Formats: sequence, C-alpha cells, structure tokens
Amino acid sequence: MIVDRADAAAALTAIGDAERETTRAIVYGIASSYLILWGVVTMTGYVADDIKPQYAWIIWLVLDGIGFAATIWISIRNKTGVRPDQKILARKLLAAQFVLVVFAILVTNIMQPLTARQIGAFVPLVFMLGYVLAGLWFGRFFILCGAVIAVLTLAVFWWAGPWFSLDMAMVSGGVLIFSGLWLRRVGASL
Amino acid sequence: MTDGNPIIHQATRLKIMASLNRLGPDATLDFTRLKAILDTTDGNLGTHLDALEKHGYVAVEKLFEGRKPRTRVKVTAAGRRAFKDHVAYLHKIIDDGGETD
Repeated sequence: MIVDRADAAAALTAIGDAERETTRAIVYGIASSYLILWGVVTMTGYVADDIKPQYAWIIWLVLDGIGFAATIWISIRNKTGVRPDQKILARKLLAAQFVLVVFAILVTNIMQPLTARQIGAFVPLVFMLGYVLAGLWFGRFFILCGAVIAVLTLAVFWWAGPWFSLDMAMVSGGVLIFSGLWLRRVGASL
Repeated sequence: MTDGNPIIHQATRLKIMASLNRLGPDATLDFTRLKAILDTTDGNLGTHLDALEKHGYVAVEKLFEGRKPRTRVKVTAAGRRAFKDHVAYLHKIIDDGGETD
C-alpha cells in the first residue's frame, strides 16, 4: 500500500470529520433524555405554581430533587455507551449545572425582596445561559434552544399578566420537551 | 507501529471505523444513524460493513424492535486496535514527511 503525505493528511481530515459528526450525534442522543426529563419537571413545577402558589418552594424542591436523581440514573444507564473521555465531559457538565443552581440560589438570596414572578423568570434565564454556553462546544442546537426559551421567558415575564406560571409551563417546559423529542430523532441512541 | 492497513484505509471504511471508535465499549450504533453520519447510501454502507465484518473489525447485529427490523453495528476490540495502529501510521507519514509502501 502506497500512502503519501497528502493522502495521509486527507485521511486524517476525514477521520476528524467523522469523529466530530459522531460525537455530535452521541451528545444529541444523550441530551434528548435530559431535555425531556427537565421539560417535564419544569412544566409540572410551573403548573403546580399556578394551582398551589403557597407551596411553590417545597414543590420546586421536591421536583428538582427528583430531577437530579433521575439525571444521575440516566447518566449511570448511559455510562457503558460512552468512552472514558466522554464520561469526564459528562461529569463536568453535571458540575456546571450544579454551579448554575448554586449561582441562581445565591443571586436570588442577595437580591431580596424578589417576587415569585421575578424568580420564576430569572432561574430559567440562568439555565438558558448555560445552554447557550454549552452550545458553543456541543452544537448550535443548544444555542438556538437556549435563546428561544430566554426570549420567550422575557416575553412571558412582561406580557403574560396573570397567566405567567401557565405560560412559563408551556414556554420553558414545552420547548424543552419538544427539543428533546427532536434531538431523539437526529441523535444516536447507544 | 505497524504498516498501513489497506482494509481500513479505503475512504468509506476509514470513516466507519472513525465513527464507531467514538462509541463506548458496549455501545452499538443504528445502521440508519451511521448512514446519516457518513452521508452515504444503504448499499455503499452495507458493502463496506460486510468487508469490515469479514476481517473481524466490526460486529453487525440484526434484531427486531417490535415488528421493525433493526441493524446495529459496533467496533470489535481487534477493530479498535487496527484503527489505532492505522491512525498512528498516518501520523508517522505526516511527521516523517515521506511516502511509504
């Protein structure tokens, strides 16, 4: 077999392209489960906010607890499907999500007094910032998803009137679920 | 370092191996998803998967999900080793700036 330098360079480029496309498909496939999960959690939370606003804190605490437990369960279920370097990346993403939660809690704490409506819009905006930043590395889809939810969140905050919680259920939860279902179509199931 | 691998070096087979090598140890990839990733046709992908399977580099599994037939593909341990050796061989050519046979 004769391979010159140009052939070798072209082959390595083709390998890089195939690896990049595959990684994107894997990330999309895995992310789909998380988006659907957090879409359901978010939608349930905002609907519960509307029905029982006096129990909002405890409801969100329980729902987020369930969400994090399910996130860890999905991660464990996927662990044999990904390579060690991808596992490290997944752990870093989980840590980044945790940092965002802590950041949101700290900011809402020092900015008191805040209304439930302000907190209800601020927390998803912080998470959508995370989506947009993640999209810089993992695919434009996450930038689009984060930007769409952020813009809709602002629109709901300013113009939804008394329907804020129900509109947020549709905007935040609905878009996450829809995005997750779309990613399931284009991503790789391992 | 070994010599180049003519089975793997073919353009489509090289991309198949690169793609499957990104998966974890027990992961398989759906035939249709692999086809989309590589932007190729059913016939082309099937032919090259047959060649790689014959040499023990990939394993092809046919199964049914409900009534729908599914083909899933994974790289074998021998395939990963051969791919790694071939990539090292390509890098060596670049580094040495020469030609090899």
